[in-house]
Amino acid sequence: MTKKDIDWEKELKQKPFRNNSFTPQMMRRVEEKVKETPRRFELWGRRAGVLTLSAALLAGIFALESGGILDGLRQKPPQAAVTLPEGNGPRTPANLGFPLKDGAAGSAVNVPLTVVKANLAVDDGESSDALPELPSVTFALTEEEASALQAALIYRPDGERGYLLLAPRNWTLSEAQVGANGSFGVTWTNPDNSGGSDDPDRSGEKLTYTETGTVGSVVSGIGTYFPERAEWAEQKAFPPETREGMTLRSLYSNDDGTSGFSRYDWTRQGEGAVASGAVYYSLDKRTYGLRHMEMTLRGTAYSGAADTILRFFEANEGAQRTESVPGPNPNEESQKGISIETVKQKLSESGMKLTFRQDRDLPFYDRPMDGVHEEEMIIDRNSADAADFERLTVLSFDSREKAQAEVERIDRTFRSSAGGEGPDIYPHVFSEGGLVILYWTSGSSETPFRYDNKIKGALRALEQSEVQP
Amino acid sequence: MSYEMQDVASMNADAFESVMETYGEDVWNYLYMMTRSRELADDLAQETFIRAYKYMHAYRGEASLKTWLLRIARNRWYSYRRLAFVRKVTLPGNVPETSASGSAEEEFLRAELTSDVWKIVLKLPLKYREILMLRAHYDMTMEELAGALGITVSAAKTRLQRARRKASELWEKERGEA
Repeated sequence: MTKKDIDWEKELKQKPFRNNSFTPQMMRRVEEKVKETPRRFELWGRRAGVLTLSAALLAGIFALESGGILDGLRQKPPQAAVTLPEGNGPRTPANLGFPLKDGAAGSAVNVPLTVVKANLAVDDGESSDALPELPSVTFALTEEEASALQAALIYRPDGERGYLLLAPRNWTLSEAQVGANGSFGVTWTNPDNSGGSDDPDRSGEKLTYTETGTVGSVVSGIGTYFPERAEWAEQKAFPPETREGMTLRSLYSNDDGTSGFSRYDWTRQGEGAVASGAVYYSLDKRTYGLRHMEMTLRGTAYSGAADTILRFFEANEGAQRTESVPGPNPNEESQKGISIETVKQKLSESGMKLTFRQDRDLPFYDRPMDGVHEEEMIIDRNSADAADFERLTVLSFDSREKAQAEVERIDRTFRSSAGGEGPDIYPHVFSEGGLVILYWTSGSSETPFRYDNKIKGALRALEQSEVQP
Repeated sequence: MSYEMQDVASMNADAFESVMETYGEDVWNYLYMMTRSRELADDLAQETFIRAYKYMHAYRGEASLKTWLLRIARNRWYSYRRLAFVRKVTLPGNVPETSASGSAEEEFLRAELTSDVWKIVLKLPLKYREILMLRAHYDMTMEELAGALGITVSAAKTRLQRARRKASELWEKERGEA
C-alpha cells in the first residue's frame, strides 16, 4: 500500500480492537452508581417546594415595587460634600459627610471615618501609602442612623481600588486582608461582645465583608443565596452550601440573570445568634464576582445599624469602590505598549523566568484558536519543580480584533463548562493589541487558589483592565 | 439499535443497560484512542455513562445518542486533564502516568489492534487522531465535527485534511523503515 493508496475513511471503518473492553463489570458499576444518585429532574421535583416559596417571595417583592413601597429605599438623594482626609497625610480618623435624609438640599451629616491599609497575602514589596480619592457618597442617612455608625475606607498598598463600608460605631476593625487569589475582606467585632476563642460555640457579635472573583466561591455562593440558581451551581460542580434556618427577605436579579441581590436572616442553629446578610453577584466579565456582607448579632441593640449597613451595601452593590491610585513606580512600558519580552523581563525582576513547555507536559489549553497555536510557558520560580508550577499561555494574533474575539471565546468556554465540569484550573485573561495571555491559576477545595500579584502586576502592564472569565 | 428521544429521557437505571451494551465499546474505544491508557479509558468510560444517565433528561435528540455520548466522553477527558494538573501540583507523584505502564499497553495493542492503520492513528498528535477517528470511524458529519470540537466547519475541514496528510506521511515513514 502506498501513500496514495490509503483511504483513511475506509480503512478506519473497522473496529480498532478485536474485543470489547467495556466489560459487564464496568456496566454493573455504572448501574450501581446511577441507582445511588438521583437524577437532575428528580432533584427538581424535591426542590419544587423551595422554588414555589421563592416565587411567592419574588411576587411579593414585585408587588412592593409596583406599589412604590420600596421607592424610599432605592432613592438616590443629592450628593453632599465630604470631608476628605489629606492625600498622603496621617491615618487619623476624619469625618465623612453623608447626605442628610429628608434634610434641606445640600445638607449633610457626619460619620467618623477610619482609614485602614489592607494586608496583602502576596506582597511584591512595592507598597504605596498613597490614599485613594474618596468616592462620591450619595447614600442618605438620618442623624439617628449616622449616630450609630462609622465609615471605613480600606485602601490597598499595591494601588488597586480600595473600598468604603459602614459599620456600627465603636466596633473594632480587626483585619482587612487581600488573599493570594485576589479575594479580599474585612471584619469588625463588637468589643463588648466579641465571644472568645475559649468558647467556640458562642461566637460574638461581628460584621464581615468579603468579595471574591474565583469561580468556585462565586458559583457556590450564588447557589446558596439564590435558590433558582442552585441547580445551575450544582451542575457546575459547585454544590451550594445549605444553611438551615435561613430566610430570604429580598431577592431580585436582572433580566438575563447576570447579576442579582439577595438579603437574608439566618438563625444559627444552637448558637442563639441571628445573622443578617446581603449578597450581590455579577457574572459580567468586567465585574465578575460575589460580594457578601453578614452581621451576627445577639439581641436587638444593633438591629437598626445592621439594616442601614445592609442598605448601604444594596445601594452600592457591595462595598462602595474607590478609584485605583498610581503606584510608586509607574510602569512606563504600559504607556508605550508591551511585548512578551517585556513580560519576561518583568517576571525576571521578580525572580521568575519563563521556560517553554516540554513535550512531556500536557498543554493546559490546546483548543483551536483561530488557527493560531499557543505557546505555553511555565513560570519557573524554582527549576526543581518548574514543570508543575503555574503557566502562561501566549497567543499572538495578527490583529486586535482577532485577539479580542479569542478572549470572548475563552470567556464563553470557561463559563459554559456545562455538565458539571467545574474548572479546577482557571485562566485570568489579559490582552493588548494582538497579544492574548492566559495566566492559569489553580486550586481546589483542599488547596486555595494561588493568584500571584507579581505575575498579575507584570501582566497588568499589558492592559488597563483584566477580563474575568 | 436506535433510541427515540422520549425513550432516552425517561429511561430508568435498568433500561440504561441497553444503552451501555450498544455504545459502551464505542465510548471506550474513543477514550482509549484519546488517552492511550486502558486504565484511564476504563474510568472515563464509566464516568461518561454515569454522567449521561444523570443528564439524560437534557438529551434533546439534536445529535445521535452516540454523538451525544462521545461529546460527554470528550468533556470527561478534557476535565480529567485539567484535574490532573491540580493533582500534580498538590499531590506530587499521585497522577497516573499514561506512559508508565508502557510495556503492558504495548502488549495490549499487539494482541488487540485489528490493523496497522490504527497503530498509525495512535501515533498522531491528539488533535489529528481525534478528528480522523471521529470522521472515519464514527461517521460524524462536518457539522457534527465542528460542533463536537468547538471549531468552524471550514476549520474542521482543514484539520481533517492535515490529519489525513500527517497520517499518510507517517504511514510512508513506517513502511520505509520496515
